[in-house]
Amino acid sequence: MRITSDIAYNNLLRDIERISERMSTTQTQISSGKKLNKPSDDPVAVSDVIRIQAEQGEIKQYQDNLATAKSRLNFADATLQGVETMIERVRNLALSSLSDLTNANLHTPEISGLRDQLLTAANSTIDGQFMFAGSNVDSPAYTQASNGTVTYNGNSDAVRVQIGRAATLQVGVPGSDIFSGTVDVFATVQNLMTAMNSGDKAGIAAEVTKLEQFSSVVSSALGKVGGLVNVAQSVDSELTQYSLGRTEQRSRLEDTDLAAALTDYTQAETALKATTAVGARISNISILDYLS
Amino acid sequence: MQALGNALNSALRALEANQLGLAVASNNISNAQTPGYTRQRAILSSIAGTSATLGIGAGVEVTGTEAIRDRLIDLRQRQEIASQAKDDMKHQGLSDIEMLFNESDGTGMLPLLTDFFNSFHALSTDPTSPNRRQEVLTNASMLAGFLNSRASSLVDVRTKIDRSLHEDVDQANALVDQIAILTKRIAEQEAVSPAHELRDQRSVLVQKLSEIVEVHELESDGNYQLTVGSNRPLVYNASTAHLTTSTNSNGFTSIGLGIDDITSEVTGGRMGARLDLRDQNIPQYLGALDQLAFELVQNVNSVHSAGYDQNGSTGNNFFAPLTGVAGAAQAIALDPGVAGDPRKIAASDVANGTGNGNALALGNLQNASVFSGGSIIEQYRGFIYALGSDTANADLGARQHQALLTQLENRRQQVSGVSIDEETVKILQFQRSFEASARVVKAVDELLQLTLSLGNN
Repeated sequence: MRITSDIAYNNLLRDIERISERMSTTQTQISSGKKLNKPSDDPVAVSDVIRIQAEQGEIKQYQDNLATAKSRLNFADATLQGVETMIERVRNLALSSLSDLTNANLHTPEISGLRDQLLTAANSTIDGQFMFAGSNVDSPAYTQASNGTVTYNGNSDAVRVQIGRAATLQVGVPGSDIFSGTVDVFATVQNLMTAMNSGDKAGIAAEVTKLEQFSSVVSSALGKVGGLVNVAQSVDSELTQYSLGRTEQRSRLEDTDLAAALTDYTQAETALKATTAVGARISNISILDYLS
Repeated sequence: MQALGNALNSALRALEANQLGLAVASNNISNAQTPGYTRQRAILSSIAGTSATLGIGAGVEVTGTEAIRDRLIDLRQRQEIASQAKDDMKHQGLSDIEMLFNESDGTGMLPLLTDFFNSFHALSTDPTSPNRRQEVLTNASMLAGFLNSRASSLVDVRTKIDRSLHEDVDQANALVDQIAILTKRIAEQEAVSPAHELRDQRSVLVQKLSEIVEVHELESDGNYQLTVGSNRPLVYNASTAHLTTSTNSNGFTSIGLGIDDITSEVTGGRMGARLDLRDQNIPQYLGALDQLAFELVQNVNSVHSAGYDQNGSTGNNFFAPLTGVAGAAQAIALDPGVAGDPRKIAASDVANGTGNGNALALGNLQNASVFSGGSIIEQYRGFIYALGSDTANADLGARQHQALLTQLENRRQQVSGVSIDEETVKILQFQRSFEASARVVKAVDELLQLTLSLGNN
């Protein structure tokens, strides 16, 4: 085979180009920390990363929703615990009136104040939304007419947020299930005050029974809210776990394996050194050296 | 005496032949680095003797020079040049397009898509919040803006590629003219003597032309012809036909030759790549974006119009409705009603406009299998995959052709390349032959003098 010096130089040039390209690719991978720098680097991996990235975006939103849900449910929990205390106080006052009917009317101002507090609790807002108004969150759940009658303006729809592709979480309990549900607490307290003012023992006893019924409504609502908080908590940690797995998988797909990349770079460097060293010796031996 | 005269004559011819041989070797060495140069060789042949010389040969003569070339390698090389130039250009074009859809550093369309749908979920947690509503509009218009700008970038790229065809045609025509001129000069010179150098030059020009468009060369019975497409002559001996450009009904450049439109016949070279990009790749990507935008508008509108806005109004569009798929990505925009008033986002699924059910339904569209590629994310994935693998394949193709080309170039060098060592050895041979012949002349001269001196005594 005839080998001309051009062949040797052409091959040398091509080899140097190839090795330099490999070095430059590896260098980009090392400096950017990513082995996927454009779709054509690995179309399959890139499209997998897109799916994971979309999922991660979704999960982040679900976790944001869960955070909102938790803060609202915790707030509802605190509010309802307050309500429980107030009702307990009203009930104690009512019970003491039963044993001391003549002084019963002395307790009514305090009960009236507690009723106002109950109304405030039922109209509490979080993030500017009325929490116990069902889905009718932008107007007060309960309004009081001048004659003292309290009416519900909300609806019976519970607000739900998305916490998974096919999962929603209820983030509140409509007032119609608590304050004006089986027992209308405002009417009950109103009636209790009337009975206490008039010393109506049977009336007081009847309202106390209703108050006890209301207490159990509140505690079951508390149980429900607590359950929802637990769900939120466990879904959140599941999502965190899942998200970690996805992050790991994404990193495997797109992050540079530094050890491998550095080894590759060193190999390329060695190859380049060897190639240039050999290149420098091309035509080192020529017949011209032996003619003088 | 006659024998001495013959010896002198043949020595003289040998001196001439060796000088010519030296000249050829020297020419080879001079052109060792000239691109396309084919090494030459002096053809030596012996001169037969006559009955008068008792059949003793009359020495050597140079009957001509020959260029050592393998036509097959030349032809294969041209084809590879055309394929390599095509894939290279295609890879360049696709790389440019690929950069428009780079998802690697958290830019690109995917974050905009997820942000858009997530903002509906965020709105569902607080459906009356003006900020959340504004966020939905902002994210929607960013997504629409991205689709608009990428679609018009694709259209721009296509237009630029289309314009470049004019430059290609101009360059090709200039080369065609030069090739025809060289062909004429070759014919003229070859009537007298070999035209190796001119042929080498023509070969280089045909290679350059092959980078622009695939051409076929045919030389038979002293006629030279260069064709393009399905045997359409560009050069026939000294006459030429020029490529022409015209604008077709779509506003794109058509390639013509004579009265025929040969656009569909043009393959290989930069022109082949540009036509592929213009007529296949870019329309495919634009079509995918249009389809995505169109389905996005349709699906979001169909869910949105089923819900109620904060004013209790229903049946309204979120995106401005589109008439068709074509041009959807460039046209996608918010409906003017919603764009001017965030209250008009239909987040509610109940008539009084207080619920968040429709916001949930809109957010859930992200994973709904209502798009032709599955979900919208899957559809977008498919698009990125197609773009990535097209680019990777073009790159691979260009590399493979480059490797083949290197091999062919080495093969050509093996046959036609100049080896300095080889030429040096030849020079030595001719030098020694020359010296030997000179010695013969000297010997004959001595003999003649001796003979002449015999007469003097």
